[in-house]
Amino acid sequence: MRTSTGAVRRKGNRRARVVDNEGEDRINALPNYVFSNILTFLPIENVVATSSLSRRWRPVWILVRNLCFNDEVAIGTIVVPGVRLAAFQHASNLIEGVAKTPHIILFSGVVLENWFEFSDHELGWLETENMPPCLTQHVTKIKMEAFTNGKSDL
Amino acid sequence: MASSSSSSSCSSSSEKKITLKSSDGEALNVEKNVALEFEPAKGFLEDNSEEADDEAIVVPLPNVSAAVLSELIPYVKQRLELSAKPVQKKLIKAFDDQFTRHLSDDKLGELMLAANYLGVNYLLDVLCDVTADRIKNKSVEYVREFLGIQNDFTPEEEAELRAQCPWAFEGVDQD
Repeated sequence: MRTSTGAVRRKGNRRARVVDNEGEDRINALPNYVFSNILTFLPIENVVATSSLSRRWRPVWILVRNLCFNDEVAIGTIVVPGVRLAAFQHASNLIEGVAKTPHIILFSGVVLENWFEFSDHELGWLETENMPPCLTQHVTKIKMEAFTNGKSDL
Repeated sequence: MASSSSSSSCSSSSEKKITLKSSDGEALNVEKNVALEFEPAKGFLEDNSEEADDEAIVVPLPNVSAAVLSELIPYVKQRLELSAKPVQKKLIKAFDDQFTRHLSDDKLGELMLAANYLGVNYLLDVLCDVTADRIKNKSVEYVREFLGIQNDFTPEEEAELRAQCPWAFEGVDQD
């Protein structure tokens, strides 16, 4: 957001804005791991909502390590002994995945690509209709299944 | 502001002092062990280790103002003292809570930038926690405002993002 001279909608005085001489918010120059650190303290709904803050913020939530899906959010779940698991519909393609760790992943192919671009998470197991090629090296066992509901992706 | 930290004399007088120079040109005297908590200062002191007299060293910190340094220095000093003792974690937590409770949102942002620049990760973690508290269950618009984020999506793109996971946008607090 630009300087206070710009068309900034303000609600009271609540903001953590620090504007430099050029009027840019320096807060947004903080590295992504700081933002993902903030997100680790937030409920899953808030975490996912940050993907619509701006383009710069779109991939930040993917970095969150302890993403916890709750029952209301989960679209479907699969029981795998010894691991927590959640299913989550991010886009039109539904992919269900289980991480080796208690961290859970389940996204569209598009977001999964981002996931491995930005993070060192490893998927232990995954079900997807269309597997992005970049994933094969990260996934130890793959099962392809049709989950798509036919809508186009963003 | 600067004098309040440099004149505090509860530590032993034999403790070595280092001078930090803020972005706005103020010189602040701090104990060497406090200065070493700041990554850029630590690097600078290592690079200038042949300097016999620590008192003669001036460490430039061009990204932090004197006002922010004057808040950080007593915090780091007390935090070091706490950490040196076999204290319970909840004491440190209480100290952190006390430090952050009355921070304005602006100050919170300033300190986050400074803690990141200076590599004071224990403080950065605390500030992230506080920031999360202040944006918890808030609307996307509120969070943009709070963090100064420019929305660069088209209305159509934003609507589509929201439509993909409507549950993420429900039940937020009133701004």
